[in-house]
This record gives sequence, C-alpha cells and structure tokens, in this order.
Amino acid sequence: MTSAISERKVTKRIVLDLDRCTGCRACGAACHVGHHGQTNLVPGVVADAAVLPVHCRHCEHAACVEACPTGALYREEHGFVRRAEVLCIGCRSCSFACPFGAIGDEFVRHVSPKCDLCVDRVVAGGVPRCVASCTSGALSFVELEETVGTPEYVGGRIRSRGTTRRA
Amino acid sequence: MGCTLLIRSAGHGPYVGEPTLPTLDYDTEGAFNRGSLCGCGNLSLELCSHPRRFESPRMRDAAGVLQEVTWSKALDEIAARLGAIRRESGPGSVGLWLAPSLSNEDAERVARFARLLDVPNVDSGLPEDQALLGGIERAGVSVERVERIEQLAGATAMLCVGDVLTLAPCLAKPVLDARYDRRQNLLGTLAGARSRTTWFGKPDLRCAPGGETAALALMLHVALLGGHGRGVPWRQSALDGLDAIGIATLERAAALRRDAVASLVDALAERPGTAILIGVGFADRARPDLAAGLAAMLAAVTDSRLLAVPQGANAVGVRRALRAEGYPDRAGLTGPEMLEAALTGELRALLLFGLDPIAATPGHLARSALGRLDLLVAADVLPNRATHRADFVLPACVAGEKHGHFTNAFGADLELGVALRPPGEARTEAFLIGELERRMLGGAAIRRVPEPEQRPGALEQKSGGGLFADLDLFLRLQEREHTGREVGTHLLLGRADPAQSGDGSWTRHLSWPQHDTPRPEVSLAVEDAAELGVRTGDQVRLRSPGAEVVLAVRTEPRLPRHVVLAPGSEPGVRDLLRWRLDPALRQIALDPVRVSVERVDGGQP
Repeated sequence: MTSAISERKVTKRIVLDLDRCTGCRACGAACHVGHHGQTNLVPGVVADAAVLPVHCRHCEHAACVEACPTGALYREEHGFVRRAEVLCIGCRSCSFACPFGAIGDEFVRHVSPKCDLCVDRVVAGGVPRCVASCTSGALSFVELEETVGTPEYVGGRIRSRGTTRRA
Repeated sequence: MGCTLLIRSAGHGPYVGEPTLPTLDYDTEGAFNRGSLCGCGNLSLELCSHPRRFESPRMRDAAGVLQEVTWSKALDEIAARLGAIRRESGPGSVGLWLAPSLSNEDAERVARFARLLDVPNVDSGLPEDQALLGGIERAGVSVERVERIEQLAGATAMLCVGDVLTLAPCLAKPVLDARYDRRQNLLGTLAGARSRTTWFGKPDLRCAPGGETAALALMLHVALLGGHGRGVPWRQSALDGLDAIGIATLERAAALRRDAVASLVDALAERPGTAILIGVGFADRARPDLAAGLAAMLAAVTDSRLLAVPQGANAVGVRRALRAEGYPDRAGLTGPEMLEAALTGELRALLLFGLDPIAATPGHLARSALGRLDLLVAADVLPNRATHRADFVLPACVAGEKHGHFTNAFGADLELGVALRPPGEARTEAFLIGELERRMLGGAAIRRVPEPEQRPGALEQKSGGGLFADLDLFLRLQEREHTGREVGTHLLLGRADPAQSGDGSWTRHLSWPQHDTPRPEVSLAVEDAAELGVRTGDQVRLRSPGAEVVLAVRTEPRLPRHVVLAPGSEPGVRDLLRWRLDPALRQIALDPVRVSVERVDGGQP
C-alpha cells in the first residue's frame, strides 16, 4: 500500500511566502468561484495579525484518508487526495484527523471543504486557482524536491525573513 | 472583470461560464502580474453571481411598495415624470450622479443626455476620490506620474500613503518587489496601524493614527530644509507656509520626529526611480485633498513619480469623460451640493447610476435629502439604502456583462468585452439612457450634439499657499478641539476600513469573510481605556446629540488621548460624523465630532 502511494505521489506543492502575503483573500475568492461556490481553501487566522490560506499538503500518508469511514476520501491516479462527495456523510473525521487544519469543519453542500489542488488545471499543465490569482506573488507551485530538506521551506511555507513587522 | 489597474493587461484569459456559475481561466504568462485577479475582478465575480441581484425593473406603487414592472412601463413613467419636473422647475432641478464603476462610454452617454436636456448637475465618483484627485490638481505642481507598472517594480525607495494594497491589490507585486528585492530598499507607509499596507512598511515611520496629513507635511518640510527641490518655483512659498505652521506642531500632530523621516526623504530624493503612491484609506479621512496635495508637492521636491489610487474602479475615466462634456462646471452642482439642494427643494429629481449617496457620505444629510426628492431613480445591481428609498429601481450590469473601455490608474484606456450574460432583465446604462433619450427627445437625440462650451477649470487653483493655509487651519482645529474639549468628551475621527471591496467583505457572499471579517471596533488610547475601565474586546457606547452606536473596544498604543477612531463606513458611526462643503473643492470635508464614550456592561454591539 505504502509503495503504491509513493509511486504516485504529488510532485508539486503549494508554498506560501509569509513575507509577501498581504491577506487580500483573492485566493479564497478564486477558490470559491472555481469550485462552484464552495471555498475549499481554509483561512488560518493568526491572532489579530493576519489571515493566511491553509493548503492541503496531499500527504504521502494522508491521515484524512485513513480516518474516513466511508472511503469518500481517496487518492486518485495523479496522486491527489480527493473527496467523492456522494460518499461523504459529513462526520468531520477528516477535519479532526488532518494535522495541518487544512480541512475546515464548516459544511458547504453537506460536505466539509477539501482542497483538490485544482486537479482539472494541474493535469492540464496549469497551476491551482489560488496560485494563479495571488495578487502579491506569495503563493507558488513548486516541485517537491525543491522544498524537502531546504531550510527556507518549512511546513508548506517559506520561512519569514524576519523583515515583516505586523501591527 | 473591472480591474482598476490592469484588466486585460494582467493577462486574464477568456472567460467561460454561465451567468450563475462563472468560471475564469487565468493566464499565468500575463504581462504584468502573471494572471492575478485583483479585488475588482473578485468583486465582479461576486456581483455577477450574487443571489440578491436585481433582475427586473421596479416601480413604487401608491401604497409605497416597490413592484416589478416591465422596462417599457418603468421608462415611460420615468420619462413622463422627469419631463414634467424639468418643465415646471427648469433643468437645474434635475441631477445625475454616476458611480466610478461605469465605463467611459456609459459616462459619456449619460453626460451627453444631460447636455441635451440642458441639465447642468452631473457629478461622478465617490466624494473621497474626488477630493483626492482634486487635491492633486489644486496643489498645482508639476510632477511626473507613474505611467506603467514596470516603473514601480524598479523603484528602490517608495512611500505608500493610505491603504494602497487594499485599494489596489494588483500593486502588491511591484510594491513588495520594491520592498524585498535589495537589502537597502526602503518602503515607507503612512496608513492606519492595522491596514494591509502598513504591515510592510518601515516601522519607525508609523505616525499617530489620524496624523498622516501632518506626517506628509513634516516630510515635505524636512525635504525642503534638507536642500531638496531647489528647482521648484514654489519652494520659498512652501517653506514660508510650513514655517508659519511650525515643525514642532507637525511633529506633535504626527507623533513623529523629523530625524525618523529624514532617511526616507533622502532616499526618495537621491535614488533613481522612486515613487509616491497615495490612495484613500488612512485613518485621517477628514481632508484627503490636503494629504494628496502634500504628496504631490513631496513628489515634486524629491523628484519622485506620483500615482494616485482612487477607490472607484474607473474614477479616472468617468471623471475624464464628464470633463470632455463640460462637467462639472460652476453652473452645475457636485454630488454633495446636489444633496444640499435637495434639502432646500431646489433639486427635485435625482438619477443615480450605481451609487448610494447614503453610503458615500457620512451623517444624516443624504438620507434626509433623498427623502425630499420628488423623483429618485436608482440604476444598480444590489439593494442598498438608496434603492430602498427610490421611486424606480432599474437592474444594471456589472463589468464583464457589458462592453466598454475603462481607464486604469496609470491613465491607459483598456477595453473590456462581454464575458457573462446579465441575469434576468438587467440592462446596461447605455440602454437605459438611449431609451430615455428616445422617449424624452424623440428625434432630437439623433441630431448632432453641439460641442461643450469651453469653461475655466473650476477645480484647478494654482496655489500651494492656499493648501498651507488650509493645513494650518485643519491642524489648529484638531488641536483646539482636542485641548478645548469638555470633560468626558472625545474627538471622533472616521477611520477607513481595511476591508477591500473584492475579497467578499462587501457582499458577504463568499464563505471566507463570513467568519473571519472582524467586527467593527473603536480604537481608544490605552490611558482612556484604563480610565473608562475597559479592555480590548469590551464594549463602549459613543454618543452625540441625536445619534449613538455601540462598538467593541480596541486599545491603540499610539493614539493620542481623548481621540477615538471608529470605522467610517459603519452605519452607526456614519450617523455620528458631520461634514460640510469645502468651498474650494466643492466636495465634503469631515469636521471632528465630539462624542461621549461610556462603558457598556453586557450586551452585544
């Protein structure tokens, strides 16, 4: 099972540059529009300082897939963790299981929001809608090898250079 | 999409979709910002799929209820009543007020229609935008404008006045490039403490909330004292004006010391390709024209390029279109003047195109004025307080549903095509005006329209001296109100909200802002909060004669004592604020308002 997953793992990840995110929420709007009114991107509220997007990492060993009691969450052929909406019973097990808080617990259309990495665009050679719509260049879609083991990248984010001073 | 700055230049690809489920294809190879969607684009997407869109014309019946009618019925009635008012009270009793989101063609069509009817009262835009753009013209200085976004990307020093990144998110990439590309790059910001732009600024430039205008004057004074701008002809008169105010007064009002701003001033003057960006959105909303004029003078002295970023998506284009038709002139009224004329009964009919005067102006005046009109027609997309009072509501189109040209903040005209089908019977302003022309003028509309008269520029006053006299008066007024206050009262300033129009906060339609948009808060000085016995999160009641509002408290360390800052767009706060007409600009100027602040025990705001 593990070897099968690793063979099909996602080769690109969304990375957020903490120094460049202005909190404009254009990514959330693009996600909302691109997914027919369902915003799959979860907002991460950092105290009063900022609202940052929290992206699904499409983990190699995805806790949400393991936790789903109905098999609604599955890994599809391109390696993305996706949800079969007809199978989802809205138990929120995935939301509780996700270690990054990337699956929200707010129900929209009877299912909780789950980022699909805009698979329709990515398999055609594009980038996810949130990356394309980012107004400040904070979001990028980069090869996994560029991020793993690189000190600049931490947990799906580009480490702040300490130059941004929040009010 | 109605992006203020870039529109197609941003590289947006073709749009595919149905009216209720629009989808957008982003062209990430786009010329400037690799396919980013700005706030205006998001706003258009919100609006075009909004469930509360007007889809058919409505007319108020005898019982005072808005009833759906056909376009034909609505237009016949409007034409008949408008014609009757014009015959009885003359063309001067009719006014037209245009939103800054109209296309250039629609604005020209409306202005031409007004001229055919001899109606002199036509204005466009939000009063704050008009004050901003008018303030730069009024300063009368020769300054190089930013004409292309690439000019910003290469800047090594930049000053942002107002919440520029919220007003125009498309500017984020060049502004942040200027911030991070080189270690010695400088980005100064003069904006509200919690604005998005302030996050990226040089921290020691943070002035007192409400002290932005004084901070700009301080920077100008430091620049002139430092020997910069030796070539500008008005250098000595500016120095005299600023000396009369006194640098100590400016330092006190801005809560900044001169040496804190000196490094940025020197960088702006000495480095190549520097820029000053100014938009509304700073805490001091009272006189954006003063701040804009000072920013233009600072740009001229430091040899920096200037970019004005208005709030309205096409404020520059609509303003230019009306001027081509001779509006506004001294014979006609500006928008705020129309409200005052409505109160006195001089104005009897008002046609609104996408603009809600109650939201655009503080205080009770607009609400009372609209109630006095004999005929109020509102062409809009969503219900607001103006459509709630209108005799006729006509469903309009948003950008993306109609063809037209829009002028971006750099002054370039950009074409926008039709991408989406408007919902129901929504129609463009061109259709509405064309049908009214046909009904009211018959064949006259087809005849050649005479060229507009050449009129002197009413808003252009070539005098920096007037600006400094106004600034002196403004600072003295604030200081006098501050120090001469009655015990227990505070000075209320209207704060611009950090929320941008296109992130969902405006319509509350997107799911994100529904749970992360902060509730409205009033900022209190730490000492004032301690005196009242409140902490951040508690509630207080702001009260002035005739109005009051309950808001949550946020303590603000840099706020002067006995000054409170509240969001100016909040309806309850708007009722507390007062404005008067500035005779030079013929736009609104906010006056400081004294309010009492009381602690509220229990209850939710």
